Amino acid sequence: MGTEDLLEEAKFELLAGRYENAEKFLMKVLEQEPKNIDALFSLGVLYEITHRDSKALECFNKVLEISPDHKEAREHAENLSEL
Amino acid sequence: MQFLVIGIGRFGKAVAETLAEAGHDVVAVDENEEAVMEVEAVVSQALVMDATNERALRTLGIKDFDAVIVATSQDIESSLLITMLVKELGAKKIIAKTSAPLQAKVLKRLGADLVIYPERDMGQRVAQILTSPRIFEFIELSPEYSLVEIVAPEAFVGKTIKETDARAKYGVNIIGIRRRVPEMSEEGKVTYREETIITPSAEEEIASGDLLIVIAKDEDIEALKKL
Repeated sequence: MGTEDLLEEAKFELLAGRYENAEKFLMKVLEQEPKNIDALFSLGVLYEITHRDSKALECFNKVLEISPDHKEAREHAENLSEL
Repeated sequence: MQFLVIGIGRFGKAVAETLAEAGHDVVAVDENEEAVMEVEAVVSQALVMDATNERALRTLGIKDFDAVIVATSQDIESSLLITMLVKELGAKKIIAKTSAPLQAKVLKRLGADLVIYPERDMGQRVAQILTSPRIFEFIELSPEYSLVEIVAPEAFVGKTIKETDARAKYGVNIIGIRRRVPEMSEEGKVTYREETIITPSAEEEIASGDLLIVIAKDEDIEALKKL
């Protein structure tokens, strides 16, 4: 399966609340494309939804390393930095 | 409602601004002009005043306020004197800030109805959150009971509240659920919205990632953390 299809599956699973499956698909995308911003951002959101905040922050920071102007990643990262 | 906040340090400023933003009439008083200027745009009235001066305090009409908040605990003597003065001037309710249990005892003797320990409470909260990654909020309700926000244990996920038997089996009362519901933005990015369910029904199913708002004894909370 190509990364686009994997991403689509991941988002479908995520929206359905099947977070374990969504995470697996996103990890597969990142194995093939470690700098895939969409996958990294989606994984960050998944971690945030499931309250794995430090992992979420890692993902958003990786997005910002690749794309410093990514507005949504910055907003999520700033929110996570507040206790 | 009408409130008088005496002392516009970090705590007093936060109280004054929050009350004012909620639509209440707030009179803020401090002997430091800079502190007063920081809040004057937000509160109903901000005054530079030495609140240990009884004559000056009299001009405020202490009896007219629903509550007086004494937030000057940096200077213990002033804090005690101001509490005593506002009590004598007929304050309906006095809330005083402190950082020391001994000072709290004296404040209560002098008329404070409620004594707040913001540093101690925040310290406890931070310690709980740092040492328990699944705890997102911690409020001590009494020496025995606390209100806690905790990530739903795996054992509860997919079950209704009734099926978890949380109260009977684990001694915890689930009074709310905070949930992050995934959705797609218009640009096709995954995001989420926050939902809070207060007093959920027994048939409410607990989802992965839910934050359960529970009231329980501290030892039961410890047991829940290990589930």
